[in-house]
Amino acid sequence: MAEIRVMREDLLPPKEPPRRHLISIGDLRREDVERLLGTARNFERSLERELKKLPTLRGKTVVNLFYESSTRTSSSFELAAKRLSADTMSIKSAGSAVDKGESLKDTSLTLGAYDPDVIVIRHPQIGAPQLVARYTGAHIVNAGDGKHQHPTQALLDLYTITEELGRIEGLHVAIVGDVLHSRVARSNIQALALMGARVTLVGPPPLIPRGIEAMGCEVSYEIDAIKAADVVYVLRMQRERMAEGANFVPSLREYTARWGVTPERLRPGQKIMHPGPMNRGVEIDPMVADAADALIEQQVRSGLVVRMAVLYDLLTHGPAGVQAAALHEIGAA
Amino acid sequence: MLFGRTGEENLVVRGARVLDPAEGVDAALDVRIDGGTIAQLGTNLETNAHRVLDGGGLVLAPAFVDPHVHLRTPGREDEETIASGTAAAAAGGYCAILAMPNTEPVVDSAAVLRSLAEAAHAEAEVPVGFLAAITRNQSGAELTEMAELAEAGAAGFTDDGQPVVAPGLMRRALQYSAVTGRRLALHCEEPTLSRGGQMHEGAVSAELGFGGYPSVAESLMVERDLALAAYERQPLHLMHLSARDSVEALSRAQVAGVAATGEVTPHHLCLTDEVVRSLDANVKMNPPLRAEEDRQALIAALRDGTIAAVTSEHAPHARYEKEVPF
Repeated sequence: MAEIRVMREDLLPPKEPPRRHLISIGDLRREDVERLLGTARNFERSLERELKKLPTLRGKTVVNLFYESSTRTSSSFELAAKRLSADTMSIKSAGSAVDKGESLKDTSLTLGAYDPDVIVIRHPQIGAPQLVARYTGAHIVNAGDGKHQHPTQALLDLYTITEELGRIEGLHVAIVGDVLHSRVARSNIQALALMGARVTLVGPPPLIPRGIEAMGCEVSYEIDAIKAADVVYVLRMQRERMAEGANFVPSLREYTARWGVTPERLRPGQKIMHPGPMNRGVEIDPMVADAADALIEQQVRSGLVVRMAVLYDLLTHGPAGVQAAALHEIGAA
Repeated sequence: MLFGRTGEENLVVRGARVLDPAEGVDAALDVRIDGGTIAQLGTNLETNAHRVLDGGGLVLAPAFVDPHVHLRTPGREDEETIASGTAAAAAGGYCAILAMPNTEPVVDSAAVLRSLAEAAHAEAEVPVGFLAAITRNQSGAELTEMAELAEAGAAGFTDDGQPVVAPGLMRRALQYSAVTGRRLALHCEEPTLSRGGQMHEGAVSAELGFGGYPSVAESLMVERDLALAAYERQPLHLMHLSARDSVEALSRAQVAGVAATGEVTPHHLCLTDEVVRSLDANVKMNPPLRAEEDRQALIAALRDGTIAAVTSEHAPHARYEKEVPF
């Protein structure tokens, strides 16, 4: 057999830099967030023009791979990619090979064969985005993996708060409700803490995970605790995640009576947020949802420009003059 | 009862570093083996026409015994067979292993056990003992014919992977183990506390969003089983302990005179729930990797003898079964 000699490192062809991904808020530094929010602000201005389409990502391919139902996230990723002139392809688990029992690894290899530039994935299992990152060469954007992370939701929430209140640092945000089942809550706790806000979680003890204070937040089981906050972030009661007989709360009626966000439990001037879709009359009183201080529609609008900023940042190494630092690097290993 | 081939070789190992902590031996010695039995330790031993092996620079120590492995046979021979599992054991320095009965079908009848014993006679590289199930199909409803299984060679009884949920049934199994003379080996898990749990419940599961499998799900069942064993005055063995509260309960029961033993795995001694941050499906297991305080308690319990055995809990999975999200 021929002798195998290892070539000197400097004689090898240059290695491709590791792909950047957006999988968890935990992978971002404060300057990454500030850069993304700044880019989103620029896009917001560009959308005020009559011709809303930008040529920036012409020739790039963005695949939306959704294993869970979604309206606002999938539509805003699709529109964000189209506004930047990328080609988009949307794959939903129903009606695809996934329905026929194909593993995520094999679906990844199949999609990877088309050399997509970005794969946006939503999946019910934690760690699915990492798995897709391992088996494709695409940049991965996590659009929600199980109860783990939903980083673009947290970024659009930061963007909404900044636009409305001018800052995040020093604000007090109360996150109310079913924290246990909420990837939105986890991403937001990390994002708000990263940007210097104070976070208080409020809800019934079975829905506040034990040990979550280690993420840098406070916990209260009393709804009165929301009165002290600048922003009240209401989480959806995830009825579909509550197994029969799990008894997280005795009944929705009891939940609403003790932890529902009603006008009486708020003080004037507090901003109200909700990631949607809302259960009106359960976690949020309709009067609160429709009040002038509710930022719920702004959140949806922010979603578009923030997702444009994320796609742009991943595919262009950041705006001119700013060398983007790695959002999340997964090495060849 | 163990099944499989045993060596009958005549051999002299020259000049290995012979280590036997139980006998207080740590020296460069020769060891003579006559017909598969260690006959003499010394220097410059006669070879008596035995085969001679140069042990210079090598360590010669008593082989390990592994009380908890999965050979996946019958049913999942794609993952492991008696031949491949015992070859791995031999390569790792084990002279005997005990295989768990959670196969397809479950080892819950003398017929299944006898066919395994026969296969082991033909294929096993090191002797294998087989545990049989406590309940039929490990479903936790009815006891197996434990006396017949014991006669057919069951090394003990376990529903490994499943707890015996009903206290009344657990009590009957303990009572009946007086007839079989074989010990019950228990996987301690209170299912209503571990339900939906994918990792240890604590700060890491809270952050990652995984369902928590709290340490009390194990220790509560450990306490129950020890209480029943004390009441019935029967011995038992607690498998793959992971939690501080479990080993503390075991220690208290031992002091009170219960004939209870415990085992621990290398991964629970070396790793904690922090490694789950990798989201690598290879660190997902039952019982889960726990917190640093639990790990330290397991090490202390192994040191002071509360825990009697270290087991590999060798449990092969097909590669594609682990190439999935956590």
